[in-house]
Parts: sequence; C-alpha cells; structure tokens
Amino acid sequence: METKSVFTWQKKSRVKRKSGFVFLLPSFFGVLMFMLFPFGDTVRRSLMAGTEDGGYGLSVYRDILSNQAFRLASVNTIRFMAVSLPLLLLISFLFALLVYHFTRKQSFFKTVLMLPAAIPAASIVLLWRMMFCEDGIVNQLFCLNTDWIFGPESFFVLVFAYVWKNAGYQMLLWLAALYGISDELYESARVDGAGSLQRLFYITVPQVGQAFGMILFLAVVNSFKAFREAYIVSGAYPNERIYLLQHLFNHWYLNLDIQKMSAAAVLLAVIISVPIFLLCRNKADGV
Amino acid sequence: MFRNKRILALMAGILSVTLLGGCSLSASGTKGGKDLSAETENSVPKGAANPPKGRYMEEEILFPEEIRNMTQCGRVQREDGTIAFYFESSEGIAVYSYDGKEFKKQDTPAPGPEGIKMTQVFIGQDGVTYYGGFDKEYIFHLWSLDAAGQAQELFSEVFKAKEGMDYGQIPDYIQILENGDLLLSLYSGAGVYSQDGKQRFAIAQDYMWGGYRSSAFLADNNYLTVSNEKIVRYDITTGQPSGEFEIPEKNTTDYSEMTLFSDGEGGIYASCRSGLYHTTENGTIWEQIIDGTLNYMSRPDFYAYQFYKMQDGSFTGLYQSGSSEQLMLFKYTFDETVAAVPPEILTVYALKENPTVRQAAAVMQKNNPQVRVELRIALGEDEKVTEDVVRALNTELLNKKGADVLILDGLPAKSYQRKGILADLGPALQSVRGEILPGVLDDYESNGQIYYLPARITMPVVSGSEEAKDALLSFDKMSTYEGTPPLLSPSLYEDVLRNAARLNYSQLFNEDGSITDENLRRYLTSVKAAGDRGSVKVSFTEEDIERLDIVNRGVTGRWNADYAKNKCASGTENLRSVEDSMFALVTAKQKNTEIESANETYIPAAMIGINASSQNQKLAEMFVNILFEKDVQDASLSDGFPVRSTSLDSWVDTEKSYIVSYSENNSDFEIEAEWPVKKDRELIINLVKNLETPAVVDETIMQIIIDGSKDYLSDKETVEGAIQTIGNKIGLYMAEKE
Repeated sequence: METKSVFTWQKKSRVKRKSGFVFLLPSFFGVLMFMLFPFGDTVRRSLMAGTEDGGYGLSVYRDILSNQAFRLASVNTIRFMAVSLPLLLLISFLFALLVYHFTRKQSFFKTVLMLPAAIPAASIVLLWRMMFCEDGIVNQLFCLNTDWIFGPESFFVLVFAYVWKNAGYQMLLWLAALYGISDELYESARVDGAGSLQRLFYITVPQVGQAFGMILFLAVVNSFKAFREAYIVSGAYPNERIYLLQHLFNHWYLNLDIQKMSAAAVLLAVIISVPIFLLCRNKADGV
Repeated sequence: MFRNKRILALMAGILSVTLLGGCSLSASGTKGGKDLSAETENSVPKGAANPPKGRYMEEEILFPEEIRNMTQCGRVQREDGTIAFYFESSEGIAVYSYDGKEFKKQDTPAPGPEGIKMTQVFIGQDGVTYYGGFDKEYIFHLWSLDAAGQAQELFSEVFKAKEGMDYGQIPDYIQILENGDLLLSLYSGAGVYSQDGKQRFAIAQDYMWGGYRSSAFLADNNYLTVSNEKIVRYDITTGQPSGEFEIPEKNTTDYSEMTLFSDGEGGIYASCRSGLYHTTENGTIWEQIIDGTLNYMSRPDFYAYQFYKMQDGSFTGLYQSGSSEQLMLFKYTFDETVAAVPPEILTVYALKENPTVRQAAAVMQKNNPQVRVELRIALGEDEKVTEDVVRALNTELLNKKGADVLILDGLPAKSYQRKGILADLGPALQSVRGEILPGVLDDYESNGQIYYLPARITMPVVSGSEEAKDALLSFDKMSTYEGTPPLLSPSLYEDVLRNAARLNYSQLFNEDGSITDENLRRYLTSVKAAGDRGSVKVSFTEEDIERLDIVNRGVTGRWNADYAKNKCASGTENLRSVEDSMFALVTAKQKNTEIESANETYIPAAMIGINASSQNQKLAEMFVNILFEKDVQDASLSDGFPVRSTSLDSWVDTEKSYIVSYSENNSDFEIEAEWPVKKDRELIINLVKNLETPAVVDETIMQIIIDGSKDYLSDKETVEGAIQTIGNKIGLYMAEKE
C-alpha cells in the first residue's frame, strides 16, 4: 500500500516536470529563434574570411584586435562603463533610499525622477544643445568657453546624460528590492539598538544585494543606449573620447563589413558574459 | 484539474509550433512559398494558370516622308475623329489628316493675313475652323476664312499690345464659343470676351509658362483647367466653378506636363508621365487606362503635347522629343492577347530619381512587353541621404535580396564590390564596350572585370584669365593670387571647400580617398587666403547677404553670374550638358577667355551595378546594356554627358532653337545665351572626351573637413588645431575601413 503511494507520487512528479517543460516551450522557441539562432549566425559570419565565397578562419578576429578604431572604441566604451555604471548605481540607490524613507509624496518624487526616461531622445538632444553649445546656458552661467559637445569634455556630458536619464528607472528597481526586505528585520535590529547606518549596512545593503546582479545587468544594457544621444548630438564622428563601439558597429554596417561587426559582437558578448557568469556563480555559491 | 493542465500544455505546444511556423523561411528566401523580394502590388504570380490579359500597346506612327522634317504649325481633331495636322511648306500650308490608320493629304487652305506666321488651328463651337498666328512684332492674330476664302481677322482689339508693352496677349489656349464670344487663356489666367472685345469675366487658373496649355479644354458649356493644383470645371456662361477633381497621381504628376481632353460624355481624360486616366462627369476616382511606366509616356526626354481619342477606341499621343525637338506620334491600341501586367519584373534601386535610369526603363519596357521595370526610389528630390536608408538597403543585400540592379550614386560602391555584392558587368557591356570613352572605362576596369560604371559624367570647368584659372587649379597659386577683382566672390566656405576639392581632386586626395596633413594644410590655408580676399565666410547674416549682394547660393550658374558681373576673377561650373554650358560660353566670350576642364577630372553619375544575388541576371544585364545604348545615351536629360563617344558626337550635331536668360531681382544685370554654334559644341564635347580622372570626394571626409575647419576659417583656431581635429577624425574613419 505504501509502495503504491510512493509510486503514484513519483509518477505525478514526472508528469508535472514534463508539463512544466511544455509550458516553457513558447519562450524557449522564442529565445531560440530570436536570440540563439541569430547569435549562431553571427558567430558563423565572424569566422568567414572576407567575401562570401572565402573560407572560414580567425583572421577577422586578428584584424579587429589590431584595428585602431576597434581598440579606441573598446577603451572608450569600457571607460564610459567604468565611470558611469558605479555612478548610476550609487545615485539611483541613494534616490531609492530617499523615496523609500519619505513616505509622503512618494509617487510625486517617483514620477519626477522617472521623467527623463520618458522624454524622447530627440527632445533630450535639443535640451543638451541649449545647455552645452558654445553659447549655451552652462558656458554663460559659469563664464566658460568650453566645447562641451565636440571637445574632450563631451565625455562628462555623456556620462551626465546617461546618469540623468537612467537614474529614475534604476531607482525603481532598487525600490522594488527595498520593498522586498521584511519590516521584522528592521524592527528586531531597532530592538537590538542598531542605528540608521548600522541598519543600512547590515540589513539593507546585504538584502538588496540579492537584486544587484539584475540591476547591474539592466544598467549595462542601458549603457549601450547612450550611443543614441552621443550620435544625435555629436554626429557619426564625435570627439574621440566618446567614440563608442556602437559608432564603429554603425559604420561597419553601413560599409557592409559584416564579418568585422560579427567578430566584434562575439567578442563583446564574451566580455560581458564573463562578469555576469562570475556574478551568477558567486550568487549560486552564496557568496 | 489534471486534464485541464494537459489541455493547457497541449495549447502551449500548439502555440510554439505556430510561432515557429509563422517565422519560418524556406531556404530560397520565400515565405509561405511566395517570393517576398519580387512581391509587388501589381505583380502576377509566375505560373498563374490564367493571368488577366489585355492592355494598351504603344506603336509609333511615322509622319509621311515628305512632311517628316517640316515644322508643324497646328493640329485639330475634327468631328469625325480624324486629326488634321498643319505643316509649313514652301508652297504654303500643307494639311494631312490622320484617321488612326493612315495619313491623307488634304486641300491647302487659303492663306491667312500677310506677314503672319500660323501657330494655331482650332474648330470653334460654331463649327467654323479658326486660325491664329503671330506677326513680326509678336502680336497675335486670329482669323477665319469667309465663303470666298478670304481671311477675316477677329478680336484684334483683344490681342493688340497694351500701352507701354512691345508685345500683346499671348494665348496658350483659345476657343470661340457657340455665341461667338472668345475664350482666351493666358499664362496667368483666362477670360471670356464678348464680340466687341470687352472682357465679360475672368477665370482663375494656375500660372503656366510655355505658350501652349495642354491641361485645358472646352466641352459644351464647361471649361476645364488647372486651378490651385486641382482640375476645376468652370461654367463658361457664368464663369463660376461647377466642379473640381484631384489631379491623378498628384504626388508624382507635374501638372504642367499633363494633358486634359474630353471623353465626349462629360468625363475627362488626363494623361501624364505615369499614364492615361479617366474619370466620369462627377467622378471622384481616376481609372488608369494606360500604364505610362510601361511605355514611352514615361520617357524623360519626351514631352506630351496632346492626346486624342480616336473613333476606333484607340488613343493617339503627340509628343515632342527634347533631344531633336521633333514631333512624334504614338498610337495606343488595346491588345487582348498580352498580359494585363507584364509577368517578369526587374527591380532597380536608386537613392534619388535619375532621368537616365528612367529613360532606360521606358526603353526596356517598350522593347520587352513581358517585362516590367520597377524603379524603387528611396528619397525625394530634396531629401538628404541618411544612414537609415543605406542601412535598410544593406539589410536587404545582406539577406541576398534587394533590387536586381543598383544605382550606386551615394552608396559605398567600392565596399559593395569587395563584399561580393556586385556582379561583373562584362557580359552586359560586351556589345557597347568599344563605344564607351576609354578615359572612363579604364578607371572602372580591373583584371578585365567591371563591377560598376557610370552611365553619365559631369565636368567641372573653370574660366577666367590664365592666372586666375591656374590659381583655381593649384593650391600654391590660389594662396598667392592677389589680382583684382579677387579670385572668389562672397560665398560660403562650405561651397568653396567643396568646389576646391572637386577641382583639385587628384592633387589633394590619396588613392584611398584619405588626405595627408601636408595636403590638408595647403588646402585649408589656400582656401582661407583666397576666401579672405573674396569675403567668403562660414555663415552670413541677413545684413551681409544684402550688403554683399549674395543671391542664389549654391545654385548652378551662381559663380558664372558673379564672374560675369566682375565680382570675381574666375568662374567655375559643373557642366552636365551642352545646355548647361550656354552661360559659361557666353561669359567666356564676353571676357575673351576660354573655358577648360579642371585637370581632366570628371564626376561620375548614374553609376550602375548588378546585384550578384539577383535571380534576374539576364534581365539585369539587358537593362545595363540598354543604359549604354544609343536610345538612352543620345538623350540629353540634364543629368550628365553620355559616356558613349558616338552619342557625344550626336550632341555636337544637334541644332536647336533654344535661348536661356538669367536676371536678378533688384539688379540691372541680365545675361542671355543662345544655343551654342557647332564650334562651341565641339569645344565642350572635346573637353568631355579628354576627361580621365574620376573625382568622387568621400562625403564623410568632406563633412569632417567642413566641420573641423569652421573655427580656423572664422579665425577662432590655428590651422594646426584644425589639422589635428580633422586628421584625427579622418584617421579614425580610415582605420574603420582597414
């Protein structure tokens, strides 16, 4: 009798597992069709040695790694991410903390902070031009003669634009993580005599750390969209400090340099995947 | 519960399969068995069992040999449907009637008033034949013949020159109403005049220059004309509008070239380059009777004069050829045996409209009724080439789709060649290769293969004193030129930079299109030195424009005008035809100088290539071949000189009665030029034949130079600073291509 009961449970469990896979099918096929197959095709194209009738090889990878434009764009993109991502994560986290703690008019602050994300890129560009052009508001206000758009300082304008536009969105993600922290934890910490800073560093930060990976991932993805503003403001060939990988990809596509573009995309995917993989592994290990 | 889950799981599975099915593309690039790249609105599926049949076919009707070279001075359709053509002959007026089948010589009418050259014939609503023409003073005269054959002049008061004018009213459409009143259309409006010569009322219609208004007709009490870009019907008894119609294919129709005629039942026929259309008396939609893109109606060198409906149901179109100025007759007969829509489609992609390509399309379709040439024009005339457009094309090409034939003007032709996008044009050019200018052919041939070739070329020319011409063609001399007037007239630095780069292409750019720092320094410093002396600026204020008399910036002829006005010591132009050279030749003669080409450089245009992935290779090759054949190359379409040497010879032999004039508002300056004499035409064509260096300035590099030099040219930066900025960006651009 007992044996039968175990058997029935195991059978049900297998059926459940199988039906779970069937439910996964639509999204699996979606990922397969729209992500994995195109990526596979990109890898294939990256291995093509030039023209369509040529053979396969790694020559394109060698070419792009020695390509001056690719090196410059890679360094610039990494520099941009290294400066803007920590800044964005920190500022948006501070905003989230402020909004979380100021319960009055919370939705008003949320809306105000989200506004930049809702403004179309073309409108933002007009705003930047008004602010940062030679006779713009910034130069006049601080009596400067800086070329914020085409000069080397354009890097800081781009970082500022990226942080300004994405801080609201990132704040919402942090807020979601903050709302997920149990009030009982704070209450018991208070009972134990923990102050605000202690609660922040010993409860809030470790707790929201669970969501950090996803928030960082979305910030990285959004950082590639900064190209749009850079392109509209400074054109196809901006100051070389804000010449990003997307500029290069764009020009390669216009020139139909698909092999180079594919190889660069594969390299980029590998470079981005490594920290994400490490992050996921660390999380799985409970670090 | 368990059953429900099973059903849900089954539905999820079906959804997945459906999703995949919807996205599936067969290996041949078809969706659901249908070829997307060839799919068009009107296309007929290949192999369809019973494709619809029947369409109007075009046939040229030659005028009888004896009148072919005579000047036509009038034509009129009679009540029996025949068309009477009036020609000037040595024995007076010769009349031939055409009934849709043959020409018949008619009796010669009695001569009109003495000293008047006949230009018009029409039958009034009273059934009487009226004649019109101009005297030596360019005064129009209208007359009819009485029973004894004597000319009776009519409405002379209406046509006489008004006080202070040295010419009278010039009618572009004229009719006599049933009550004897006169309907007179002029270039700026129309009116009805009573028999005592007084205007009864005026009728509003759109301005139209040219002496002949084909887009107007009178039927019963209705006068139909174009007003406010609509076809408006006026009641001729009151002068009030009684109906209006949209112009067919309004977005593409140039209504000054449209012809209107009555269907005899209150409806309207309208013909334009896209075809012949019909609407009923109070209709709101136009039915396309003839597709003009399938025949010569769309030929850019043909201008429709008039269309007629014949009694047998066919149509007759009278055209003038822009090249020869001869009138030609085409008959359109419904043929039930041919497919309504040509079953084979050849697609041609171009960024911008190109008359030479359109000409080739018309010729190909005319000679191959089973083929439809579909022109895909990506941008309007005033639109700029954007990266989005090139990106969209690249996506198609990358997927081995896209048009069969590519017009590569503004596209990265060299890159397409390297990536294997283009097929060898060798087989297509086999029969015409020997005719193409060697100076042009050699530039595009490598290892016996040609992947793209211009069908037209334009020629930058310079004029002025020897010293001034040398200064334009050498940066060192440009920077030291100190003559009076200055080398350059007030204009924008952007125009000067572009012009100087074009004129000195070979000494400025390296073979790969890049530029050395040293060349860049010479280029910028020379342009600035000459520009400073000629008040050239990066931008002008409204006050500057008025003070320095800056007009028509960037318009062809602008520099010549300044040179002719002695505002500068040199004139440059980018000549595209003999017509284009008329001002340059006249100015050079006035200044006792000669025009010469800029270091034998030319600018390629209508650059053609075949998509290597095209499924219609044979048709594509045929199209390319037609592009370099006589029918296309001989035509002067103002988009460049032909690259076929015999066509250039035919341009030398072309005689025209053509006069152009140029004047400016608020200025007494005026220049008039007649069709060049043979010696001058030879001079221009010989310059074209000796061109050998293609000057294709990379637009990205040019834009980098223009943007990067603004501060230096407006004295805000040193030349070294500009060179560094420009050099870095060009270096980056070139590195991308490595």
